Amino acid sequence: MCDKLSSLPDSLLLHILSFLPTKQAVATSFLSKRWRPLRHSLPTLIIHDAKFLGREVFIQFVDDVLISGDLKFLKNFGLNCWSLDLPNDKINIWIDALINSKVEHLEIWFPYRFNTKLPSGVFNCSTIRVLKFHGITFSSLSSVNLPSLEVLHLNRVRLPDINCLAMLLSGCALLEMLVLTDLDVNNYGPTQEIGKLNHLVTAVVPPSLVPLEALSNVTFLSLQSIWSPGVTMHAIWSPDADNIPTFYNLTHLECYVDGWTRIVNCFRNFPKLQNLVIFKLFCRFPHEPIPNVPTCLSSHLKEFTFGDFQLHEAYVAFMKFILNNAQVLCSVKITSGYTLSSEVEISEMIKVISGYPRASENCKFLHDISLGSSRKDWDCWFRF
Amino acid sequence: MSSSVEAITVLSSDGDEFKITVSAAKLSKPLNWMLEDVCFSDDCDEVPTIEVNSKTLVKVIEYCEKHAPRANSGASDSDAEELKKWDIEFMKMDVKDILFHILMAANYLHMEGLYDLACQTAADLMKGMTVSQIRKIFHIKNDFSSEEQEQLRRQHPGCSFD
Repeated sequence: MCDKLSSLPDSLLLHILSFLPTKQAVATSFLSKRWRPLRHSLPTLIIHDAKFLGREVFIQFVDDVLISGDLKFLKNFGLNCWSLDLPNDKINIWIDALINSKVEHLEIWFPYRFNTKLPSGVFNCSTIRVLKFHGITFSSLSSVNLPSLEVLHLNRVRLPDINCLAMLLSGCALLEMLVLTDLDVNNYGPTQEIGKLNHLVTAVVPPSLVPLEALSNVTFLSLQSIWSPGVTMHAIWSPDADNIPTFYNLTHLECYVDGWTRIVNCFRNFPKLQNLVIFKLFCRFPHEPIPNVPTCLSSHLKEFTFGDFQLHEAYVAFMKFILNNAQVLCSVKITSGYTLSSEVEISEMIKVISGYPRASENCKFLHDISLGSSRKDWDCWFRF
Repeated sequence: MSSSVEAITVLSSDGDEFKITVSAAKLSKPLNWMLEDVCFSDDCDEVPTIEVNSKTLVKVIEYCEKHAPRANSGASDSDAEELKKWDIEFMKMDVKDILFHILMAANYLHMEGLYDLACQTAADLMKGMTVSQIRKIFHIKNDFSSEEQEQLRRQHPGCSFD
Protein backbone atom coordinates (compact mmCIF):
# COMPACT_ATOMS: atom_id res chain seq x y z
CA MET A 1 0.00 0.00 0.00
CA CYS A 2 1.45 3.37 -0.94
CA ASP A 3 1.44 6.58 1.07
CA LYS A 4 -1.29 8.60 -0.58
CA LEU A 5 -1.71 11.11 2.21
CA SER A 6 1.78 12.57 1.74
CA SER A 7 1.02 13.25 -1.92
CA LEU A 8 -1.72 15.75 -1.00
CA PRO A 9 -0.97 19.45 -1.44
CA ASP A 10 0.42 21.46 1.50
CA SER A 11 -2.78 23.42 1.94
CA LEU A 12 -4.74 20.21 2.47
CA LEU A 13 -2.24 18.69 4.89
CA LEU A 14 -2.15 21.95 6.86
CA HIS A 15 -5.93 21.92 7.08
CA ILE A 16 -5.76 18.40 8.52
CA LEU A 17 -3.14 19.55 11.03
CA SER A 18 -5.40 22.45 12.03
CA PHE A 19 -7.73 19.90 13.65
CA LEU A 20 -4.93 18.51 15.82
CA PRO A 21 -3.69 19.83 19.14
CA THR A 22 -0.57 21.96 18.54
CA LYS A 23 1.80 19.57 20.24
CA GLN A 24 0.77 16.78 17.92
CA ALA A 25 0.62 18.95 14.81
CA VAL A 26 4.23 19.95 15.46
CA ALA A 27 5.19 16.31 16.06
CA THR A 28 4.01 15.32 12.55
CA SER A 29 7.11 17.10 11.25
CA PHE A 30 9.03 13.98 12.33
CA LEU A 31 6.94 11.65 10.16
CA SER A 32 9.05 12.08 7.03
CA LYS A 33 10.89 14.68 4.95
CA ARG A 34 7.62 15.54 3.19
CA TRP A 35 6.07 16.57 6.51
CA ARG A 36 9.17 18.22 7.95
CA PRO A 37 8.63 21.83 6.73
CA LEU A 38 4.87 21.98 7.41
CA ARG A 39 5.34 22.94 11.07
CA HIS A 40 6.62 26.33 9.95
CA SER A 41 3.40 27.03 8.08
CA LEU A 42 0.98 26.31 10.92
CA PRO A 43 -1.19 29.40 11.29
CA THR A 44 -2.29 28.54 14.82
CA LEU A 45 -0.28 27.41 17.83
CA ILE A 46 -2.08 26.79 21.11
CA ILE A 47 0.19 25.52 23.86
CA HIS A 48 -0.85 24.34 27.32
CA ASP A 49 1.81 23.45 29.87
CA ALA A 50 -0.32 20.68 31.36
CA LYS A 51 0.21 18.67 28.16
CA PHE A 52 3.95 18.41 28.87
CA LEU A 53 5.75 16.24 31.33
CA GLY A 54 7.82 18.71 33.27
CA ARG A 55 8.91 22.27 33.06
CA GLU A 56 12.11 21.77 31.04
CA VAL A 57 10.34 19.79 28.33
CA PHE A 58 7.68 22.49 28.10
CA ILE A 59 10.21 25.34 27.88
CA GLN A 60 12.22 23.45 25.25
CA PHE A 61 9.10 22.90 23.18
CA VAL A 62 8.02 26.57 23.23
CA ASP A 63 11.60 27.70 22.59
CA ASP A 64 11.78 25.28 19.70
CA VAL A 65 8.54 26.53 18.17
CA LEU A 66 8.95 30.26 18.80
CA ILE A 67 12.68 30.93 18.83
CA SER A 68 14.17 28.36 16.47
CA GLY A 69 11.07 28.28 14.32
CA ASP A 70 9.97 30.35 11.39
CA LEU A 71 6.86 32.30 12.36
CA LYS A 72 6.12 33.79 8.96
CA PHE A 73 2.70 32.14 8.71
CA LEU A 74 1.73 32.36 12.35
CA LYS A 75 -1.51 34.24 12.91
CA ASN A 76 -2.92 32.90 16.19
CA PHE A 77 -1.02 32.07 19.33
CA GLY A 78 -2.28 30.90 22.69
CA LEU A 79 -0.15 30.11 25.73
CA ASN A 80 -1.65 28.63 28.87
CA CYS A 81 0.74 28.25 31.81
CA TRP A 82 -1.67 26.71 34.25
CA SER A 83 0.78 25.16 36.64
CA LEU A 84 4.31 26.27 35.84
CA ASP A 85 5.76 29.43 37.28
CA LEU A 86 8.06 30.50 34.46
CA PRO A 87 10.83 33.09 34.67
CA ASN A 88 9.57 36.43 33.41
CA ASP A 89 12.53 36.94 31.05
CA LYS A 90 11.66 33.69 29.27
CA ILE A 91 8.11 34.89 28.73
CA ASN A 92 9.40 38.23 27.48
CA ILE A 93 11.58 36.51 24.88
CA TRP A 94 8.62 34.47 23.65
CA ILE A 95 6.29 37.45 23.49
CA ASP A 96 8.89 39.54 21.68
CA ALA A 97 9.27 36.77 19.09
CA LEU A 98 5.51 36.76 18.62
CA ILE A 99 5.29 40.52 18.27
CA ASN A 100 8.04 40.46 15.64
CA SER A 101 6.25 37.67 13.81
CA LYS A 102 3.23 39.88 13.18
CA VAL A 103 0.81 37.67 15.06
CA GLU A 104 -2.84 38.76 14.88
CA HIS A 105 -4.51 36.90 17.72
CA LEU A 106 -2.75 36.47 21.05
CA GLU A 107 -4.11 34.79 24.18
CA ILE A 108 -1.95 34.46 27.28
CA TRP A 109 -3.32 32.64 30.30
CA PHE A 110 -1.47 32.62 33.62
CA PRO A 111 -2.75 31.79 37.08
CA TYR A 112 -3.39 34.95 39.01
CA ARG A 113 -0.87 34.11 41.72
CA PHE A 114 2.25 34.29 39.57
CA ASN A 115 2.49 38.06 38.97
CA THR A 116 3.58 37.55 35.38
CA LYS A 117 4.51 40.74 33.57
CA LEU A 118 4.56 41.35 29.83
CA PRO A 119 7.07 43.26 27.71
CA SER A 120 5.91 46.69 26.53
CA GLY A 121 6.18 45.57 22.89
CA VAL A 122 2.86 43.83 23.21
CA PHE A 123 1.18 47.22 23.59
CA ASN A 124 2.87 48.61 20.52
CA CYS A 125 2.09 46.15 17.81
CA SER A 126 0.52 47.11 14.52
CA THR A 127 -0.76 43.65 13.52
CA ILE A 128 -2.59 42.46 16.63
CA ARG A 129 -6.36 42.25 16.19
CA VAL A 130 -7.29 40.17 19.24
CA LEU A 131 -5.60 40.36 22.63
CA LYS A 132 -6.71 38.29 25.62
CA PHE A 133 -4.87 38.13 28.94
CA HIS A 134 -5.62 36.25 32.12
CA GLY A 135 -3.63 36.55 35.33
CA ILE A 136 -1.15 39.13 34.06
CA THR A 137 0.21 42.05 36.07
CA PHE A 138 0.61 45.29 34.18
CA SER A 139 3.32 47.70 35.09
CA SER A 140 2.66 51.32 34.20
CA LEU A 141 2.58 51.80 30.45
CA SER A 142 4.75 54.35 28.71
CA SER A 143 3.13 54.16 25.29
CA VAL A 144 0.30 52.25 23.64
CA ASN A 145 -0.26 51.89 19.93
CA LEU A 146 -2.54 49.06 18.85
CA PRO A 147 -3.99 50.43 15.61
CA SER A 148 -5.49 47.09 14.45
CA LEU A 149 -6.87 45.92 17.78
CA GLU A 150 -10.53 44.86 17.56
CA VAL A 151 -10.92 42.70 20.67
CA LEU A 152 -9.39 43.37 24.10
CA HIS A 153 -10.17 40.96 26.91
CA LEU A 154 -8.54 41.33 30.32
CA ASN A 155 -9.53 38.82 32.95
CA ARG A 156 -8.02 38.82 36.46
CA VAL A 157 -5.46 41.32 35.31
CA ARG A 158 -3.78 43.53 37.88
CA LEU A 159 -3.39 47.19 36.97
CA PRO A 160 -1.23 49.63 38.94
CA ASP A 161 -3.84 52.38 38.64
CA ILE A 162 -6.79 53.54 36.64
CA ASN A 163 -4.66 55.78 34.40
CA CYS A 164 -3.06 52.66 33.02
CA LEU A 165 -6.41 51.53 31.65
CA ALA A 166 -7.16 54.94 30.19
CA MET A 167 -3.77 54.92 28.52
CA LEU A 168 -4.38 51.47 27.11
CA LEU A 169 -7.80 52.33 25.67
CA SER A 170 -6.56 55.58 24.17
CA GLY A 171 -4.24 53.53 21.98
CA CYS A 172 -6.96 51.28 20.55
CA ALA A 173 -8.86 53.44 18.08
CA LEU A 174 -10.56 50.57 16.21
CA LEU A 175 -11.65 48.55 19.22
CA GLU A 176 -14.94 46.67 18.68
CA MET A 177 -15.12 44.49 21.77
CA LEU A 178 -13.91 45.39 25.25
CA VAL A 179 -14.12 42.83 28.03
CA LEU A 180 -12.77 43.71 31.47
CA THR A 181 -13.69 41.08 34.02
CA ASP A 182 -12.43 40.59 37.55
CA LEU A 183 -9.82 43.31 37.25
CA ASP A 184 -7.68 44.19 40.19
CA VAL A 185 -6.90 47.88 40.21
CA ASN A 186 -4.42 48.82 42.91
CA ASN A 187 -5.10 52.49 42.90
CA TYR A 188 -8.76 53.05 42.35
CA GLY A 189 -9.19 56.71 41.58
CA PRO A 190 -11.62 58.75 39.51
CA THR A 191 -11.94 57.59 35.91
CA GLN A 192 -9.72 59.31 33.42
CA GLU A 193 -11.08 61.10 30.40
CA ILE A 194 -10.76 59.05 27.24
CA GLY A 195 -12.30 59.77 23.88
CA LYS A 196 -15.34 57.90 22.63
CA LEU A 197 -14.46 54.47 21.23
CA ASN A 198 -16.25 55.01 17.95
CA HIS A 199 -16.09 51.41 16.71
CA LEU A 200 -17.02 49.73 19.96
CA VAL A 201 -19.98 47.32 19.67
CA THR A 202 -19.68 45.15 22.77
CA ALA A 203 -18.56 46.23 26.23
CA VAL A 204 -18.38 44.02 29.29
CA VAL A 205 -16.91 46.24 31.99
CA PRO A 206 -17.28 47.25 35.62
CA PRO A 207 -19.44 50.38 35.63
CA SER A 208 -17.04 52.76 37.29
CA LEU A 209 -13.84 51.82 35.49
CA VAL A 210 -14.42 53.23 32.03
CA PRO A 211 -16.26 56.51 31.45
CA LEU A 212 -19.66 55.83 29.88
CA GLU A 213 -18.99 58.46 27.20
CA ALA A 214 -16.25 56.22 25.84
CA LEU A 215 -18.70 53.31 25.57
CA SER A 216 -21.69 55.13 24.15
CA ASN A 217 -21.48 53.56 20.69
CA VAL A 218 -22.12 49.98 21.87
CA THR A 219 -25.10 47.74 21.12
CA PHE A 220 -24.28 45.33 23.98
CA LEU A 221 -23.38 46.59 27.43
CA SER A 222 -22.78 44.36 30.41
CA LEU A 223 -21.81 46.10 33.63
CA GLN A 224 -19.97 43.42 35.58
CA SER A 225 -18.82 43.13 39.13
CA ILE A 226 -15.26 43.79 40.21
CA TRP A 227 -13.29 41.03 41.82
CA SER A 228 -10.90 43.06 43.93
CA PRO A 229 -11.69 42.86 47.64
CA GLY A 230 -13.31 45.90 49.16
CA VAL A 231 -14.62 47.39 45.95
CA THR A 232 -17.64 45.14 45.33
CA MET A 233 -19.93 48.13 45.64
CA HIS A 234 -18.38 49.64 42.52
CA ALA A 235 -20.30 47.06 40.55
CA ILE A 236 -23.66 48.51 41.48
CA TRP A 237 -24.98 51.01 39.07
CA SER A 238 -27.11 53.94 40.09
CA PRO A 239 -26.74 56.30 37.18
CA ASP A 240 -28.25 59.72 36.99
CA ALA A 241 -30.16 60.14 33.73
CA ASP A 242 -28.97 63.71 33.31
CA ASN A 243 -25.32 62.74 33.55
CA ILE A 244 -25.09 59.81 31.21
CA PRO A 245 -24.74 59.97 27.44
CA THR A 246 -27.37 58.68 25.04
CA PHE A 247 -26.60 55.17 23.81
CA TYR A 248 -28.21 55.39 20.39
CA ASN A 249 -27.32 51.81 19.39
CA LEU A 250 -27.78 49.99 22.68
CA THR A 251 -30.12 46.98 22.41
CA HIS A 252 -28.86 44.82 25.27
CA LEU A 253 -28.11 46.02 28.81
CA GLU A 254 -27.20 43.95 31.85
CA CYS A 255 -26.27 45.36 35.25
CA TYR A 256 -26.53 45.39 39.02
CA VAL A 257 -28.90 48.18 39.91
CA ASP A 258 -29.43 50.35 42.95
CA GLY A 259 -32.86 51.93 42.95
CA TRP A 260 -35.07 50.65 40.10
CA THR A 261 -36.81 53.95 39.51
CA ARG A 262 -33.45 55.52 38.81
CA ILE A 263 -32.64 53.03 36.08
CA VAL A 264 -36.10 53.39 34.56
CA ASN A 265 -35.52 57.13 34.31
CA CYS A 266 -32.29 56.36 32.45
CA PHE A 267 -34.13 54.35 29.80
CA ARG A 268 -34.70 57.50 27.79
CA ASN A 269 -30.94 57.45 27.17
CA PHE A 270 -31.26 53.95 25.62
CA PRO A 271 -33.84 54.57 22.89
CA LYS A 272 -33.41 51.15 21.23
CA LEU A 273 -33.20 48.92 24.30
CA GLN A 274 -34.76 45.49 23.65
CA ASN A 275 -33.19 43.21 26.19
CA LEU A 276 -32.71 44.09 29.85
CA VAL A 277 -30.96 41.86 32.37
CA ILE A 278 -30.88 42.87 36.03
CA PHE A 279 -28.26 40.75 37.79
CA LYS A 280 -29.46 41.89 41.17
CA LEU A 281 -31.49 44.74 42.57
CA PHE A 282 -30.28 46.78 45.51
CA CYS A 283 -32.65 49.10 47.30
CA ARG A 284 -30.51 51.64 49.10
CA PHE A 285 -31.33 54.47 46.76
CA PRO A 286 -34.55 56.35 47.53
CA HIS A 287 -37.40 56.10 45.04
CA GLU A 288 -37.56 58.79 42.43
CA PRO A 289 -40.70 59.87 40.65
CA ILE A 290 -40.98 58.59 37.07
CA PRO A 291 -42.28 61.56 35.07
CA ASN A 292 -42.75 59.69 31.76
CA VAL A 293 -42.65 56.07 30.73
CA PRO A 294 -39.65 55.92 28.37
CA THR A 295 -40.55 55.03 24.77
CA CYS A 296 -38.03 52.20 24.57
CA LEU A 297 -39.77 50.47 27.44
CA SER A 298 -43.25 50.81 25.96
CA SER A 299 -42.39 49.97 22.38
CA HIS A 300 -39.01 48.14 22.14
CA LEU A 301 -38.36 46.04 25.23
CA LYS A 302 -38.77 42.37 24.30
CA GLU A 303 -36.90 40.44 26.96
CA PHE A 304 -36.61 41.10 30.65
CA THR A 305 -34.45 38.98 32.95
CA PHE A 306 -34.56 39.56 36.69
CA GLY A 307 -31.76 37.93 38.67
CA ASP A 308 -32.28 36.93 42.28
CA PHE A 309 -35.95 37.82 42.06
CA GLN A 310 -37.92 37.85 45.32
CA LEU A 311 -41.49 38.65 46.17
CA HIS A 312 -40.45 41.72 48.12
CA GLU A 313 -41.72 45.23 47.75
CA ALA A 314 -39.15 46.84 45.41
CA TYR A 315 -38.73 43.75 43.24
CA VAL A 316 -42.45 43.39 42.81
CA ALA A 317 -42.89 47.11 42.10
CA PHE A 318 -40.19 46.98 39.39
CA MET A 319 -41.66 43.82 37.85
CA LYS A 320 -45.17 45.30 37.85
CA PHE A 321 -43.94 48.50 36.28
CA ILE A 322 -42.25 46.62 33.44
CA LEU A 323 -45.24 44.35 32.83
CA ASN A 324 -47.67 47.26 32.93
CA ASN A 325 -45.79 49.31 30.36
CA ALA A 326 -43.83 47.03 28.03
CA GLN A 327 -46.24 46.50 25.16
CA VAL A 328 -44.08 44.19 23.03
CA LEU A 329 -42.55 42.14 25.82
CA CYS A 330 -42.05 38.51 24.72
CA SER A 331 -40.36 36.91 27.67
CA VAL A 332 -39.76 37.44 31.36
CA LYS A 333 -37.14 35.29 33.02
CA ILE A 334 -36.35 35.13 36.70
CA THR A 335 -33.34 33.47 38.26
CA SER A 336 -32.82 32.14 41.72
CA GLY A 337 -29.15 33.21 41.70
CA TYR A 338 -27.99 34.45 45.04
CA THR A 339 -30.76 33.42 47.38
CA LEU A 340 -30.97 29.93 45.82
CA SER A 341 -34.72 29.60 45.93
CA SER A 342 -35.98 26.10 45.30
CA GLU A 343 -37.62 25.00 42.05
CA VAL A 344 -40.99 24.99 43.82
CA GLU A 345 -40.51 28.53 45.11
CA ILE A 346 -39.49 29.71 41.64
CA SER A 347 -42.53 28.19 40.00
CA GLU A 348 -44.71 29.72 42.71
CA MET A 349 -43.15 33.11 41.97
CA ILE A 350 -43.66 32.63 38.24
CA LYS A 351 -47.31 31.83 38.90
CA VAL A 352 -47.68 35.02 40.93
CA ILE A 353 -45.97 37.38 38.49
CA SER A 354 -47.74 35.91 35.47
CA GLY A 355 -50.95 36.98 37.18
CA TYR A 356 -49.93 40.66 37.33
CA PRO A 357 -51.68 42.96 34.87
CA ARG A 358 -49.61 43.39 31.73
CA ALA A 359 -49.54 45.38 28.52
CA SER A 360 -48.22 42.61 26.28
CA GLU A 361 -50.54 39.68 25.64
CA ASN A 362 -47.98 37.27 24.27
CA CYS A 363 -45.47 37.04 27.05
CA LYS A 364 -43.76 33.90 28.33
CA PHE A 365 -42.60 33.50 31.92
CA LEU A 366 -39.54 31.32 32.45
CA HIS A 367 -37.04 30.21 35.05
CA ASP A 368 -33.60 31.20 33.77
CA ILE A 369 -31.01 28.99 35.39
CA SER A 370 -28.03 30.60 33.68
CA LEU A 371 -28.30 33.71 35.88
CA GLY A 372 -28.53 36.78 33.78
CA SER A 373 -26.08 37.03 30.97
CA SER A 374 -27.88 35.39 28.15
CA ARG A 375 -25.09 36.03 25.69
CA LYS A 376 -21.69 34.69 26.60
CA ASP A 377 -19.97 34.85 23.23
CA TRP A 378 -17.70 37.54 24.61
CA ASP A 379 -16.23 34.98 26.99
CA CYS A 380 -14.68 32.47 24.62
CA TRP A 381 -11.03 31.57 24.75
CA PHE A 382 -8.93 29.17 22.76
CA ARG A 383 -9.58 25.61 23.77
CA PHE A 384 -6.28 25.01 25.50
CA MET B 1 -30.24 26.43 -18.04
CA SER B 2 -33.95 25.94 -17.92
CA SER B 3 -35.37 26.13 -14.45
CA SER B 4 -37.46 22.99 -14.99
CA VAL B 5 -34.39 20.73 -14.84
CA GLU B 6 -34.22 19.13 -11.43
CA ALA B 7 -31.31 16.76 -11.90
CA ILE B 8 -28.26 16.69 -14.12
CA THR B 9 -26.09 13.90 -15.42
CA VAL B 10 -22.33 13.91 -14.95
CA LEU B 11 -19.58 11.46 -15.87
CA SER B 12 -17.01 10.15 -13.43
CA SER B 13 -13.36 9.87 -14.41
CA ASP B 14 -14.08 6.16 -15.03
CA GLY B 15 -16.73 7.15 -17.57
CA ASP B 16 -19.78 6.10 -15.53
CA GLU B 17 -22.91 8.25 -15.57
CA PHE B 18 -24.33 9.68 -12.36
CA LYS B 19 -27.41 11.75 -11.63
CA ILE B 20 -27.26 14.59 -9.14
CA THR B 21 -30.06 16.98 -8.27
CA VAL B 22 -29.50 20.63 -9.09
CA SER B 23 -29.86 21.71 -5.47
CA ALA B 24 -27.23 19.17 -4.40
CA ALA B 25 -24.85 20.15 -7.19
CA LYS B 26 -24.97 23.73 -5.92
CA LEU B 27 -22.92 22.68 -2.90
CA SER B 28 -19.89 22.59 -5.18
CA LYS B 29 -18.67 25.85 -6.66
CA PRO B 30 -17.30 24.32 -9.89
CA LEU B 31 -20.52 22.33 -10.40
CA ASN B 32 -22.51 25.47 -9.77
CA TRP B 33 -20.51 27.31 -12.43
CA MET B 34 -21.11 24.39 -14.77
CA LEU B 35 -24.84 24.68 -14.13
CA GLU B 36 -24.72 28.30 -15.16
CA ASP B 37 -22.54 27.75 -18.23
CA VAL B 38 -23.56 24.44 -19.74
CA CYS B 39 -26.85 23.57 -21.30
CA PHE B 40 -28.48 20.82 -19.30
CA SER B 41 -31.79 20.56 -21.12
CA ASP B 42 -32.97 17.19 -22.43
CA ASP B 43 -31.95 17.79 -26.02
CA CYS B 44 -28.40 18.72 -25.04
CA ASP B 45 -26.05 15.77 -25.29
CA GLU B 46 -23.01 17.27 -23.64
CA VAL B 47 -22.37 15.43 -20.37
CA PRO B 48 -19.66 17.04 -18.23
CA THR B 49 -16.93 14.89 -16.75
CA ILE B 50 -15.90 15.26 -13.15
CA GLU B 51 -12.34 14.21 -12.41
CA VAL B 52 -13.36 11.97 -9.53
CA ASN B 53 -13.55 8.18 -9.74
CA SER B 54 -16.91 6.39 -9.58
CA LYS B 55 -16.50 4.94 -6.12
CA THR B 56 -15.73 8.39 -4.67
CA LEU B 57 -18.34 10.21 -6.72
CA VAL B 58 -21.07 7.97 -5.31
CA LYS B 59 -20.05 9.09 -1.83
CA VAL B 60 -19.72 12.75 -2.79
CA ILE B 61 -23.19 12.75 -4.36
CA GLU B 62 -24.62 10.97 -1.31
CA TYR B 63 -23.14 13.74 0.88
CA CYS B 64 -24.48 16.51 -1.37
CA GLU B 65 -28.00 15.08 -1.51
CA LYS B 66 -28.10 14.75 2.28
CA HIS B 67 -26.78 18.25 2.93
CA ALA B 68 -28.57 20.13 0.13
CA PRO B 69 -31.92 20.72 1.90
CA ARG B 70 -30.20 22.28 4.88
CA ALA B 71 -27.74 24.32 2.84
CA ASN B 72 -30.57 25.76 0.78
CA SER B 73 -33.05 26.57 3.49
CA GLY B 74 -31.19 26.67 6.79
CA ALA B 75 -32.03 24.22 9.54
CA SER B 76 -33.14 23.97 13.10
CA ASP B 77 -30.79 22.85 15.85
CA SER B 78 -32.27 19.37 15.93
CA ASP B 79 -31.70 19.02 12.16
CA ALA B 80 -28.11 20.12 12.63
CA GLU B 81 -27.67 17.56 15.39
CA GLU B 82 -29.13 14.81 13.20
CA LEU B 83 -26.88 15.84 10.32
CA LYS B 84 -23.81 15.72 12.57
CA LYS B 85 -24.63 12.13 13.51
CA TRP B 86 -25.15 11.30 9.86
CA ASP B 87 -21.74 12.81 9.00
CA ILE B 88 -20.01 10.61 11.57
CA GLU B 89 -21.66 7.48 10.12
CA PHE B 90 -20.88 8.69 6.60
CA MET B 91 -17.18 9.04 7.40
CA LYS B 92 -16.82 5.52 8.75
CA MET B 93 -14.97 4.29 5.70
CA ASP B 94 -11.85 2.51 4.62
CA VAL B 95 -9.22 5.02 5.64
CA LYS B 96 -6.33 4.28 3.36
CA ASP B 97 -8.42 4.03 0.26
CA ILE B 98 -11.54 6.17 0.04
CA LEU B 99 -10.77 8.89 2.62
CA PHE B 100 -7.84 10.04 0.53
CA HIS B 101 -10.07 10.29 -2.56
CA ILE B 102 -12.77 12.14 -0.62
CA LEU B 103 -10.15 14.66 0.54
CA MET B 104 -9.01 15.18 -3.04
CA ALA B 105 -12.58 15.42 -4.36
CA ALA B 106 -13.72 17.88 -1.70
CA ASN B 107 -10.68 20.02 -2.46
CA TYR B 108 -11.21 19.83 -6.23
CA LEU B 109 -14.96 20.44 -6.01
CA HIS B 110 -14.57 23.32 -3.51
CA MET B 111 -16.98 21.74 -1.05
CA GLU B 112 -16.24 23.44 2.22
CA GLY B 113 -18.38 21.24 4.47
CA LEU B 114 -17.08 17.94 3.09
CA TYR B 115 -13.52 19.29 3.03
CA ASP B 116 -13.68 20.15 6.74
CA LEU B 117 -15.36 16.87 7.55
CA ALA B 118 -12.76 14.79 5.67
CA CYS B 119 -9.83 16.73 7.15
CA GLN B 120 -11.32 16.38 10.62
CA THR B 121 -11.70 12.63 10.03
CA ALA B 122 -8.06 12.33 8.95
CA ALA B 123 -6.97 14.35 11.99
CA ASP B 124 -9.09 12.18 14.30
CA LEU B 125 -7.20 9.14 13.03
CA MET B 126 -3.93 10.82 14.05
CA LYS B 127 -5.13 12.20 17.38
CA GLY B 128 -3.36 10.66 20.36
CA MET B 129 -1.17 8.50 18.11
CA THR B 130 2.61 8.45 18.26
CA VAL B 131 4.68 9.36 15.22
CA SER B 132 5.35 5.72 14.41
CA GLN B 133 1.66 4.80 14.83
CA ILE B 134 0.67 7.54 12.37
CA ARG B 135 3.26 6.26 9.90
CA LYS B 136 1.70 2.81 10.17
CA ILE B 137 -1.91 4.01 9.71
CA PHE B 138 -1.16 6.03 6.58
CA HIS B 139 1.78 3.95 5.28
CA ILE B 140 4.13 6.92 5.57
CA LYS B 141 7.72 5.88 4.99
CA ASN B 142 10.28 7.20 7.43
CA ASP B 143 12.88 8.53 5.00
CA PHE B 144 15.21 10.14 7.54
CA SER B 145 18.62 8.51 7.74
CA SER B 146 19.73 7.42 11.19
CA GLU B 147 22.16 10.39 11.28
CA GLU B 148 19.33 12.77 10.42
CA GLN B 149 17.13 11.26 13.12
CA GLU B 150 19.90 11.65 15.63
CA GLN B 151 20.29 15.30 14.63
CA LEU B 152 16.53 15.93 14.91
CA ARG B 153 16.54 14.38 18.36
CA ARG B 154 19.30 16.75 19.42
CA GLN B 155 17.54 19.78 17.91
CA HIS B 156 14.15 18.99 19.45
CA PRO B 157 14.80 17.46 22.82
CA GLY B 158 11.23 18.07 23.92
CA CYS B 159 9.70 15.97 21.16
CA SER B 160 9.04 12.31 20.77
CA PHE B 161 9.86 10.54 17.52
CA ASP B 162 8.49 7.13 18.22
